Amino acid sequence: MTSTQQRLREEAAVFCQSLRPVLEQDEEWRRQGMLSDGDSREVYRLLGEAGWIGMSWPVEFGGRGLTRLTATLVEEVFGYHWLPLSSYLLSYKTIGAAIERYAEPALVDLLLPPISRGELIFCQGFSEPGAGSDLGSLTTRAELRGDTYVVTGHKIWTSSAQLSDWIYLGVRTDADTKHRGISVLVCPVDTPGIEVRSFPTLGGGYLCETFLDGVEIPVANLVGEVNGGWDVLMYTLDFERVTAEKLGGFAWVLNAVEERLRETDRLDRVAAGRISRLRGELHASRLLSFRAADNLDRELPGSASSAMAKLSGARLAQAIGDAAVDLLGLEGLAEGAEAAIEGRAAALYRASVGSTIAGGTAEVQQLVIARRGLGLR
Amino acid sequence: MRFPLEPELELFAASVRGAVGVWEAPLEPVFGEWQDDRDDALAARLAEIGWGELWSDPDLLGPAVAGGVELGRAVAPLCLVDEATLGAPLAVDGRVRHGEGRVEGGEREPTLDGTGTLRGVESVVPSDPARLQAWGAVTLAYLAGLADGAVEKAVAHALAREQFGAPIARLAAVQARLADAALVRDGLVLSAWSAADPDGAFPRDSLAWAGGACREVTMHVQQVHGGIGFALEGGVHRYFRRAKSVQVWTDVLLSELASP
Repeated sequence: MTSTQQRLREEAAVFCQSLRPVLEQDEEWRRQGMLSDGDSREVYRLLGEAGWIGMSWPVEFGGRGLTRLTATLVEEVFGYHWLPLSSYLLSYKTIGAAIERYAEPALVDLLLPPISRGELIFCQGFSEPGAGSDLGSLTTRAELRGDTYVVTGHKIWTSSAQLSDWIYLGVRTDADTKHRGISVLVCPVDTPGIEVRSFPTLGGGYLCETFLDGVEIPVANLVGEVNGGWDVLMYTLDFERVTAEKLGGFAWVLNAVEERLRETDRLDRVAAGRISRLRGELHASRLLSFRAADNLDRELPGSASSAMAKLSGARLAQAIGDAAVDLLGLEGLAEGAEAAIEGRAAALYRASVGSTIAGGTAEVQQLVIARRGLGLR
Repeated sequence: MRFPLEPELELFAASVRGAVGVWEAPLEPVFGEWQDDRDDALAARLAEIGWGELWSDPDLLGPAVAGGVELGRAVAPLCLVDEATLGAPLAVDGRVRHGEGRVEGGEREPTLDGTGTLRGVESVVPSDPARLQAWGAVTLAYLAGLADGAVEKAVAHALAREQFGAPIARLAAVQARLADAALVRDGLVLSAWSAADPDGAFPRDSLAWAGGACREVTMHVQQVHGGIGFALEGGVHRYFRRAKSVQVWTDVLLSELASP
């Protein structure tokens, strides 16, 4: 880590501390066991106001012109302080990255500056009832009429749709081919014909399903080429799968568990050994994340390294959630601000169930590693 | 190995590869009989390229890791790690590996992986921080090399071995196993390089994780090889036996280091 990166991380830590009063007032903050799924419009606004959104974007879009790797190092600090990051991750890190790379300049000018100011939140309409792991089977139709697409379909697992301003949609523009018949469109969530329904999850937050009925979206809102959407979606996922922010939260949990065991005279050799092994695995997982971010910076093929980063983090979520509860014993089962380690053991235990499902299941990550990384076909 | 090295590190790795190249690990152990895979000629060839001095300068941790990976890939004798870093055989919990002729006394004890173990000797817990750090980094590198060598064998096997009219590499279950193995292998390699930081510390947590993680990789590799890996000929089992051995010796050392 360079001294500039180190300084930036220290600045980020001070900023995170300053958010503590806002976080304390937010009921969802401790209920939500996975910080990357946490929603908070207020935290997003404050992140933007302080210049922390869009770090890797050019200055003219409100960014700081830093590398993805540096942004990833800072995101780990956000995670250590349990900032609710869903809007940040969707709007800047994944969808924002694809817009920056694939959208026409006018659309980039329209969308990136308000994202970096913390004013515009995106949600992601990829999955459908019949197209989850098999995303290439999506059926949401986009018919071209003049210079407008008319979109009809049903999206599920649209995280943060209940508070989003814009939606990023994978749509079918050619019914005769599979992966080569997909395009990507963006539009405001309040466009007529869009209906959002949210429902609570085991993680302590919400997921949404989004119904699209004759939604009119201008051709100018295409991200990438017509029928070239598969590459755009995969590019988006390569970014989504670098999950260093989660690892920051896991590091906090291990520190907190160790401290609690020490305070209560229960830090014996077995407990210390289990924590040490998990820290070793966490260190390896961080390095996998940083390598994946670096590959994206250098525009190297990133799918296999991103899948490794994602899968290792997802497994750690479950291993650390499980270990935290085991090690704390009965008090580890308690939820809420008054509980041991602020109730994060129990919250992570339940929320981590989603970690090997969301953003591509563990099995999909294995396929990506096997096929793209190892050449097994 | 798909981890490109800087030219001078690659050069050193190639030298280690060359020194190890003509050496062949004993493929067919006789379980229950004491064996020692130590090879003085191999040690001499490595000494010629400066292997033994790598602990003495933190800036040499890079070459040490590059070489350690090569030793692991070859399942080379562990005394090459211990003596080049600690300057002595590893002696913990009343046992010493590759100790004959190097320490006083002790009785021969047959082991899982032929590490020439003597029992009933005095433990000498290493205390020099520079030597310990080098031992930690090279041990991580050795484990990374074991994992890498094992995965390489399994991938080649999966692409070549045909069942149901096609290479088993096309079976989703095989792909999933090897994906998991490769993920852990990459984590081990990155951890080893992370421990090569001259300003770094003894990589306790990485070592606590790495032995079990490497064992997990080699278990996947055994499973993918099926009966072919279960047979002693072919030598796939060498990675599996050695990974467990490194794990346990490392855990015992970590435990002794933690004792007051």
